[in-house]
Amino acid sequence: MRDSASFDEFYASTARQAVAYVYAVTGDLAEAEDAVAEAYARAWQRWARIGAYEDPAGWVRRVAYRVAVSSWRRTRNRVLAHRRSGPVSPVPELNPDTVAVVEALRQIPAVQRRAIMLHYVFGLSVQEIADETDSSVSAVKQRLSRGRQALAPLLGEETVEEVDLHA
Amino acid sequence: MPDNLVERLTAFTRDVSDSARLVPAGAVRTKGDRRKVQLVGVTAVTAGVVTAVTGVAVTTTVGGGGGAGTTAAAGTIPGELVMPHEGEAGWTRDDNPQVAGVFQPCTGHDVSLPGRTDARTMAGPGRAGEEEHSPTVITNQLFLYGSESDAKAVMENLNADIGRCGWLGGTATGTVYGRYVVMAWDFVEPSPPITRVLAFRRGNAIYVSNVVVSGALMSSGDYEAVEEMGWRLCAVLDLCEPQLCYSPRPSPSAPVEARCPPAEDPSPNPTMSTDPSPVYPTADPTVVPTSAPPPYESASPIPTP
Repeated sequence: MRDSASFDEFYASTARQAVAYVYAVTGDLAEAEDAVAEAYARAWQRWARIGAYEDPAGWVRRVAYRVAVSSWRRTRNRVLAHRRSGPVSPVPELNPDTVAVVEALRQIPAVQRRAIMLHYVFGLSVQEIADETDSSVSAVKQRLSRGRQALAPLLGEETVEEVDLHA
Repeated sequence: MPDNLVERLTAFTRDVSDSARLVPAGAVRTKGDRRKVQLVGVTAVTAGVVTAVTGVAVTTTVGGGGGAGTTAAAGTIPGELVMPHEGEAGWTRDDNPQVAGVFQPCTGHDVSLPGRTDARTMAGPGRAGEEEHSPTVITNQLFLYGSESDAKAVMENLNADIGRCGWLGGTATGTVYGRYVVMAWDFVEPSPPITRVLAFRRGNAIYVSNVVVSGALMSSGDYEAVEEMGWRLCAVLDLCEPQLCYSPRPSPSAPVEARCPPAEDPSPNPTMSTDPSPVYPTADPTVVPTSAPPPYESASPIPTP
């Protein structure tokens, strides 16, 4: 039996952060919103099972990422956007620093973007990131380290020396 | 800089979270419910297609497969094992043993590679009659593994990734393709293109049929190729498996009627006679398995190229 109240509560408390994550990874806010909505729709289909997971937000995050990076979907959405003749829904005004951060993230590899967001925003351990991204622990450590090194100059920071990563 | 980066990323997340245009939760649930209805319809169509072709019902359940099987002795796919569609117009063949698996439920996570010793890939279009309204790209792959347990792990991992990364489907039991089958659909939206996948395992071999349809939803999968490969694996690699045969559960309105034809050649297959698996598992209470003679015994040998 699916419990709509618990799903709605889960959605309200986690969906916005999921959008931020997908936006950080893809650099496209509309795409992120769309992918997240799709991922939650799938979660609702299986809510009796997924709602019992230890980390249902992780499941949604993973699905939203896969939906967002699906090449045909991105192509299709671009085509649909191009065909639209009516008024385009307004893009929310973001803080200039937010725009600067996403611009910086765009300049590092996607695997590093994912690792950086999962570690520094969602607080996942290296092992947890490895599980979520189907990578090895050493690969995740390397991505975090290199990601930070690459982001530092892009964000006007000093170069980092060494990163202490708790696995 | 600990943690200016963290601070900026946190501020970024907060700003985006505040600005995100979320669909109301009720609308998300409605979308999910609508999809579920659609899945039921298409699953029924898929089963109908298979039934129409083979005269045997398909049931789809989520659960694990198990049991013993045969293992091809060769680590490589022999030349006499002809892939379905070989030589057909528009089809290409790739013999790279380490080719990427076409079906990766979690993008970038290729579970078909570990333990793989050989592979054949055939890629081509859908049926001529369907191409006009439903452009289709079919990619069929045959993988051979070093051991049956390697192949079994691949199927289990496929099933796990299907659930993990939001696909519809999972392990299917009691299909005409054998005991170890994975089916998946990727209905991201009600509109196409749609990916439809059917993979089955025989011993240490796995055959994957991946169909991407860009047009009408109801374009059929490449079931003939899947079925044909089952026969060829038996004939060439001796990876045989008794075909399922069902009759409806008796009821006042539906008397028992076995759908399997009587055996023309009852000579037992030594491989299958030692198979300890008693019956094929099915979770569908509306069908009951009946013992049937192995169909491969009477199969015509495939033509040697």
